[in-house]
Amino acid sequence: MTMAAPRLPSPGVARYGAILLLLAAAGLFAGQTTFNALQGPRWLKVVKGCAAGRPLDAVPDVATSAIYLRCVSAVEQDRAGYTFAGALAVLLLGAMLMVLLPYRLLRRAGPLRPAEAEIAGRFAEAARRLRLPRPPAVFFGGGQLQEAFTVRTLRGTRIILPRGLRRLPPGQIDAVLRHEAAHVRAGDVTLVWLTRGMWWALIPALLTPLLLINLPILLTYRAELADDPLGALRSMFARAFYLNYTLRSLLLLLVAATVAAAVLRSREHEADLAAAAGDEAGLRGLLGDAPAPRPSWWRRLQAIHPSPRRRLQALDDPHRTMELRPLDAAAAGLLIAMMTPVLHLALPVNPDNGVLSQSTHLTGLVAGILFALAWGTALWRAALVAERTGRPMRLRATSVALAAATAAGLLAHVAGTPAVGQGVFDSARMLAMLPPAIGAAATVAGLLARAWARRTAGAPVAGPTWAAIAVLNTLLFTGALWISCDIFSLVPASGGWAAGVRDTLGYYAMSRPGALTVVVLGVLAFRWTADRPGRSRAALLVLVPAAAALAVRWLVVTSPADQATVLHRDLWAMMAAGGAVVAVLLARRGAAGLVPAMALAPAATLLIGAAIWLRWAQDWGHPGAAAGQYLTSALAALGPVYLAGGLIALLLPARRRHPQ
Amino acid sequence: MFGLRRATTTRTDPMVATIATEVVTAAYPDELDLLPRELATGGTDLRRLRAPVGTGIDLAAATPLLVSALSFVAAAAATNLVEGAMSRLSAAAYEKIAKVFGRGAAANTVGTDPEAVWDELTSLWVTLLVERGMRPELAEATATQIVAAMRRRDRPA
Repeated sequence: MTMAAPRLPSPGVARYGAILLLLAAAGLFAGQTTFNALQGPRWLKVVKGCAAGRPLDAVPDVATSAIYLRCVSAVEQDRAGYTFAGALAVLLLGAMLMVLLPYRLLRRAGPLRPAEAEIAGRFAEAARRLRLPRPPAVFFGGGQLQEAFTVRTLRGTRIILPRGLRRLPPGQIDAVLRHEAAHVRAGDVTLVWLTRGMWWALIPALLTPLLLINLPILLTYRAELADDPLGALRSMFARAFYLNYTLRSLLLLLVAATVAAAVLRSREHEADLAAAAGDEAGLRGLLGDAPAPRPSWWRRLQAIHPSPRRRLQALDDPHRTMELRPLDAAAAGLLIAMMTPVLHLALPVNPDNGVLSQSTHLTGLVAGILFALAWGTALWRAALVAERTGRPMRLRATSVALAAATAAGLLAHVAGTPAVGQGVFDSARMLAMLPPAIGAAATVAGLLARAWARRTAGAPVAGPTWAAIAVLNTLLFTGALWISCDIFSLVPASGGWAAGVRDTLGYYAMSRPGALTVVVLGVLAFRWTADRPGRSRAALLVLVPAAAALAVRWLVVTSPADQATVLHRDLWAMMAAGGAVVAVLLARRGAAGLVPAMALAPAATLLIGAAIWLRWAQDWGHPGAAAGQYLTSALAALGPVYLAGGLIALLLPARRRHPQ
Repeated sequence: MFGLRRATTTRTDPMVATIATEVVTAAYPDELDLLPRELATGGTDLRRLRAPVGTGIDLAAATPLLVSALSFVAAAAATNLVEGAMSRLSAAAYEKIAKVFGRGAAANTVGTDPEAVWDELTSLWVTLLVERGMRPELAEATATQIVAAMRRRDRPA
């Protein structure tokens, strides 16, 4: 007898969202490339003129930036217009194809006839059980149709049934009807067809710039091209631009199609479970009687349905469908990482040195939300399942897969240049920062989720809790993206890695969202840590690192320094104390030590913040404002510490556990 | 991601049409409207329509599979090119097929149990129908109907 699985939110919709955003972002790139083909020389002339002889990648001061911005504003607006027109074109054409493509399928499935009263009645019952607000119309297809399917037309949703359905026993007929109703309820019909429509729409969008670039040549050398078309193609693809553009575009289309199929396969399990709720004999019979082919791995990768054997296994053990799989992590990481650089490239240029650049942070926020919904939700759902089943969560394997796929996506995105490693997102610095940060954020989220699941004993929770979880995941993943992108931006500006990291941390310590995230994490970690250290041990864990950090700060690091260096030293003292708490608990308890560390570390940094504030209190013109700043710094400084802790937890051996 | 397909038109063996009509009329009267198209294509168009939001379980109508199996056997009888399940048939069973499909003289069944031959043919039809995607229990019922139709044509003149 298997344990019934609770109904938990699915990350499937967010994964479809990630595919759609990737396709739309590729539309942005197509629009921008079209601009380059038509207006590139004009843009370059204006930009060079506005730079007034200064190298374009030089770091200007703020005043120069403002003049430069005004100068390039018009041509940049033109570029943004083309860029967003590309995405809009893909969206509109995709939406149009979403409506039209089902008609092609209907024509091939026809001639259609309305289902007889008995079948229509059975479907009405299935729709009622699955709480569909408007039951779709049900039709039978022609003789060539072998599989029941659902489409949305201008006249509403249609369920099309194969003629062979009538040969099934009543229980199996109901199972087919409930499966289709479950797809309708999950919103799969719109999502799947919109994905399909945008996939097709992207092809002409990506071909347009190539056509525009080559149109003058085609018109000028018509006769020569007619004589040797293959030779012309060969010489075209011998150029790095065309080869790079074509290969990256094909890879994008392949990834989108393959991941869409993978998401659809996971949705099939969800539809099966919804269809089988309360009466699974019919579905079991249906799947048990189905032939069991053994397709090749390539066919399995393209398949839009799992094999009947896998579907039966999912019915036997529904929790399996909600467990973490490295393949799903890799799919989420690849999709989002392929979208991120393209979106960043499409946002209006900020010609200062990139620090505080809204385009970077806006891109980070979009990617952070996607990571939170497409992967974060899966993490928390899997934590509940692991608590119920007692099986491992596979956090390490999936976090590594997520990070590795993120790196692959940053290298393989459609806007990448032929010289790999020369762009912003595929540079060695970014690859060294961003993927590990994402892996670390996933680990922190997963460990928190595990602690929460233990606290709730795996009981399902209400919808608002899942909304709160989504916000928390967004804070974690966006924070990871912002910190790594800021370090990337500051490293070249500061003249080296050490200075870059120092400046980023100094900058990040001013971050109120960062401080807020640490407070939220601290409160949650405190509530969810079941095996908190006792009072005396906790006091020792907080006071010893705090006292040691203060002693080093005030007794050892005493050389005269300017105000900025003094502030940095104070900040390092806070971070060192918090870092020591994290390090001690990780060393003692392994990865599981990170959550109790998040409950205790703020106390250590706040103590130091208070001591430093008291020491400099008489020097401050506004002690209250200074207290607020020290409070923010003491908390926000822990953000990068937690991220480093997440990375260490990811690398720690699995066997290390705190005795319960 | 998305394939195209085209149906082809062929000339169907008259005996295929006769047996198919008898079986469909008796067992699947709700599929009679499918018969003309299937007979026109000889049951050759059995490719699967790939729908993105579907059940993923093949529930083909019986008629296309029936016509496809009948056409295969009729072609084998006409050309003497036997392959697959037909290559394992006994001489008596093969002669019975040849006779029913009008490609041979009266079957020489001396020394063989006639019922065993019909059982062998029933197994052949089950195999061919299942190979084409029919569910086993449905294939057995359909095979019985086909053999019944063949028996009616095997009576001495």
